[in-house]
Amino acid sequence: MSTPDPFTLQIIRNYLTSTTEEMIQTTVRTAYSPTFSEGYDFSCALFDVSGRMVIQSRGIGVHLGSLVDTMKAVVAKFPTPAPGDVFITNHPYLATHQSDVVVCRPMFCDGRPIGYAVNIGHWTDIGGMSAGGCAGTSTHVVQDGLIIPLCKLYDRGALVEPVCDFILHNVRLPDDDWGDLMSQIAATTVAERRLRELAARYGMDDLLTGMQAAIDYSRERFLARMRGIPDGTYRGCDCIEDDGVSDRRYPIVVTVTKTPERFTVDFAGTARQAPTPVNAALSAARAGVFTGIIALVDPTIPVNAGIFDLIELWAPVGSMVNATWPTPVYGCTFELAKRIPETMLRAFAEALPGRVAAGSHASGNNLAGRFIDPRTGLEAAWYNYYEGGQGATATGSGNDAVYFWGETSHNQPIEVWEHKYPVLVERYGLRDGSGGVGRFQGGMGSVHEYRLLVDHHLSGLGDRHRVAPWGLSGGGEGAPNRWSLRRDGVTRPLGEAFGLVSPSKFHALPLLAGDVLIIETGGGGGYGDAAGSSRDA
Amino acid sequence: MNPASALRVGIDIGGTFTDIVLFDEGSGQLSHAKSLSTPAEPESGFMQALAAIGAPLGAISSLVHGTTIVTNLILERKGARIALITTKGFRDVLEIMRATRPLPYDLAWRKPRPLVPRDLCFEVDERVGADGEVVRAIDPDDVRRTIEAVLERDVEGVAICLLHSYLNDAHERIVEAAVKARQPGLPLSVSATVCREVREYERANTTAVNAYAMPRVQRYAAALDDRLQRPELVRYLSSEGGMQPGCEAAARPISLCVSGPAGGVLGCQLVGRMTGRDNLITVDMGGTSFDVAVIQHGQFEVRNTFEVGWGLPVKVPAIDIKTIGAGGGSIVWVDEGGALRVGPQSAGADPGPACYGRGGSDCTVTDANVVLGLINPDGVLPMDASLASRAVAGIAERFGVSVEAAAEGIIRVVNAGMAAAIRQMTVEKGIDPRDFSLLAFGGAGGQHAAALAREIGIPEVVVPRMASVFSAFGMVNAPLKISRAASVMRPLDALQPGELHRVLSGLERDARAAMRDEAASCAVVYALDLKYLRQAHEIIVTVGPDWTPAHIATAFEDRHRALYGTALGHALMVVTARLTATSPAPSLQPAPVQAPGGGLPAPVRQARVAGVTAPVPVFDRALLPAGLRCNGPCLVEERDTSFWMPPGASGQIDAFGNLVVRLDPGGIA
Repeated sequence: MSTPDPFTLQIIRNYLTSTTEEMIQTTVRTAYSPTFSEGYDFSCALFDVSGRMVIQSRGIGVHLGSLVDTMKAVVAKFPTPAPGDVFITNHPYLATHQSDVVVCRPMFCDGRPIGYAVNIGHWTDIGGMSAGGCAGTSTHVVQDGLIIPLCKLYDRGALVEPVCDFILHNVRLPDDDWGDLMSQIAATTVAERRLRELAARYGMDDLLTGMQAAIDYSRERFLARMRGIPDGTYRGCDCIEDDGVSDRRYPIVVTVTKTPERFTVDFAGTARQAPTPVNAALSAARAGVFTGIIALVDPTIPVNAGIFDLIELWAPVGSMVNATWPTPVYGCTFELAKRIPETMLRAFAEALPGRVAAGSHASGNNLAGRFIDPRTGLEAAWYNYYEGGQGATATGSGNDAVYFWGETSHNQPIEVWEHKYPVLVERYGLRDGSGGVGRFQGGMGSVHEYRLLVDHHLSGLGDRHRVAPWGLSGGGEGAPNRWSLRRDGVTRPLGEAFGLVSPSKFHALPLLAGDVLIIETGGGGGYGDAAGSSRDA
Repeated sequence: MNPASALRVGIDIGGTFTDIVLFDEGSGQLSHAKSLSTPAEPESGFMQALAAIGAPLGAISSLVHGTTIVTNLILERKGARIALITTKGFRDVLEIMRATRPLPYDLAWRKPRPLVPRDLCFEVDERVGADGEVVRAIDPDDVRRTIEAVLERDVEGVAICLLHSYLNDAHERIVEAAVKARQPGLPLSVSATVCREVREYERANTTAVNAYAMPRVQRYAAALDDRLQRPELVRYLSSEGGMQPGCEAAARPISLCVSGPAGGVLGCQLVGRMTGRDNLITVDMGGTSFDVAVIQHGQFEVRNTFEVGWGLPVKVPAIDIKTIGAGGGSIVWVDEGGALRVGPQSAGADPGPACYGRGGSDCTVTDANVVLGLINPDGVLPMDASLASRAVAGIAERFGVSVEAAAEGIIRVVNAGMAAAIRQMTVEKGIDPRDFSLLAFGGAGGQHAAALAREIGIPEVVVPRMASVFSAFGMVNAPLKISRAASVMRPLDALQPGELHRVLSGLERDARAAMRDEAASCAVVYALDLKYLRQAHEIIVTVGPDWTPAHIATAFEDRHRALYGTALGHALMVVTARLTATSPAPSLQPAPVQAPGGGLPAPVRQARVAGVTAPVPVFDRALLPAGLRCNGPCLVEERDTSFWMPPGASGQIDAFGNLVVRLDPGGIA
């Protein structure tokens, strides 16, 4: 096999990038749920024939990083896939949490395998004890939703109907989920078509070499940037502040050892797994680690196996970052997936304050409401997660109200939301005073006030409601996240109103029509001494 | 010039030049001129351009003007100091944007600043629900207090955007009337007028951008009227490729955002009509960017949302043009991973490419073209081939290849990027580009067009006459066009009989009023944004004003099937109703160009082109008579650009002076 010239390699790399962008567009245009189409809560990537990531789309870091383990499982279980096969899984110990469903299509050109196209996205409902997910107090992984073991959804182009029926009979919103599933499949179909066209233009050998070159390219760039970080050992800690059923704190301890060509990330000292879904399986913890290292080294390099190979992870089995059956892990995508990278950066805060940001709201603040839709009389649910404040950096104030830590999600328009759900949003704005003070201020969190128009059962899974986002280099703390209930003119924290152990982890609280649910997200920590403070830079 | 004949004029003011094209309807003659732009006072450049072409004002029957004034206000953040009035609880709608970020792992990125600072965003206590019913009535005293607070801040304009006003604008109208009563003449932008569509951030931003541009555009339009002393003569080219009366432009400057590129696409449409080509892929490659649009069956596509900056969506119609940052001035570099990158940084006009000899040392796309011999260094703009060669050598060394091989590699990478943009506008939308001609204009288009066409499988390239003033040329072709839209947000089967018709008639009355004298002759096209009730993304479907729900559903399903291969038969939601009223296109009949006659003129010189063994002939396009054929390899030069005709291609000058090139599909570019 001859090596293509460097210009051809660059052309192939650019083509792969535009293919993942087309996968995104295809999904958005055909999906059913606002979670997909308005919120962009899905991600796409291409893998080589051995299951190594070649290129990823914009999207969500925890989705993409966890696919490393998912794809190992795919290649191991289906060593000889056939054209037209499509695999599906949402296994929480292979990927993230059950709501994120992975669709994987082995791609073929003239009968020869050329790689895999993958779409992972968050279905609005996946069954389980809480409509829309987010049961903060589940104690067994099966309570978090239906588990789809890694299996074939299409066999040589034919839908495996029992699998499909089985899934759709075990979710509350089969129409939404079916529409979203079809959009995921459509994205992988488009990818296969485009890669066949690329193979036709440059030849299969050049395509396959080009994919390997894309991996090598990212590795080389990443290694070059790693030189900017002094070799050494860095240690950071943080915690999950409670588990929903007790006040117990769960320390997260991370030790990062950097050598010229490797980061070794060790979680020794991190708490044992909790009984409730604040844990992460190794696959999701790995994604959090990738997010932290990439943010530290260079966020602009195309992310793929070339970078992943430089990062080694040690997580004690049975710890909260390497959870084992039947420990629930539902919160992994929006709690540990954010807290792990933030703790890693905190490890570098003292040595390299110019490279990190202060603490952020660092929680998805995930909430799900179950209700009877007055228009149909049927059970329905919404699920949402909220933008918050980002920590300040050495060069400027933190952003107000963004999705942060490995995300490019969008929030959902209030007007669209109100059309779909029996909720009147009375306030949607920035949370004044929530950003930490400092030479550069932390970003402000947001406030959403929902007047419920019908009775709801509310489930929630969040964190950082008790422990405030940390300031950096003398900057002040940001305000923690806070959820409250206004009933009959009296506003109280939800935890207090319902006598809960935890302010942020609960299941099926009975809220009444007329109640106002107030969701305030945390602000970012400030940077530097407040004397000479600035909001702009 | 026949004194009795009417003259149509197009004037395009760009950053550097003001272009003017004049079409004499009597003789069919086209003429053009260029003068320097005067950014501080664009009306002066406008008058200079008119003087340069020597058209008597009294003989001008139509004058269409394209301007970048609105785009520049936004890019340079030099618009007016304006306030936003919104629903209580929502004053931060512009600050939050959609809470997204461009890169998932980036810590240093900062949100762009909104066009209205937070302390100029005000609230009124009121609320309309998602069904259009009033949830909380508006309080006139509260409105008055808010307006006083706004006016105390010494603003030059006000944007008003209340929640769900696209369904019920009563509250917005109350606020509007109160501001008008309190301070008559203050520029006002009301969301139900400017952008009557669902999604609060997008609507508020559109309304605010509009207010932001209003004072400047209104002053400019008044200054032009004042200089010309012919009220209503100047009409403005909108982003959707239609001309608008001055009063419409002054009330909706947001519709002028991309009027320059729209002129280019109109020019392509006109060339297509003159030469009988219905299907065109149009590419405009200049110094910093590459624009692609598609004309199918004689019509270009219009989209209803685009961004005027990162995170700044505006919901107004615009010709669907895909832009990437690749132009002649794009800087070529090698990144840390050893990959060749082109752009998005550009050397611009100053210092420009290395070969300009103005001190630029970065290698650019133009330098690579000079090395390959595709640009004449001794043309209108003198270039130093040795400087180009030195700049490319820097890249060649990194890869251990010859300067020529590096230059070829650079051009291949650039072309592949442009080909991807074309694929996105065609193949990815189910359009087969092989049924199209490639129409290339802009200073750098001619060097890439043939290779690009071959890459995509397009059999024919057209390089139009007047390529250097092409947007102004297109403006001569603009019909009067007014679009209106209103979100409905109702299930199709829940609509009362006649309800849709009433919505469309309301929009039509409004559009016809704006058309004024030409209302009688206009054609109206109606469309609905539809989706499956449970689906999130809408599809636009053209409909008749009196169609039944069943008829509408069938049309939607057909469209869905064409786009996505399936139709689900589920219930539908009507998201938005739209219409566009268009006057008949001006019937331009340009006279055939004067053919000097004779055979193929002698080449003006021979050029060395990399990859071709013998020197190739270079022809002066101005000397090529109509009907004449020439075969590649050769170069056809014009004043400020050149076209590379590769081996295997054959060209002909058509009756209108366009260069038409057939590519042998198997040839090598």
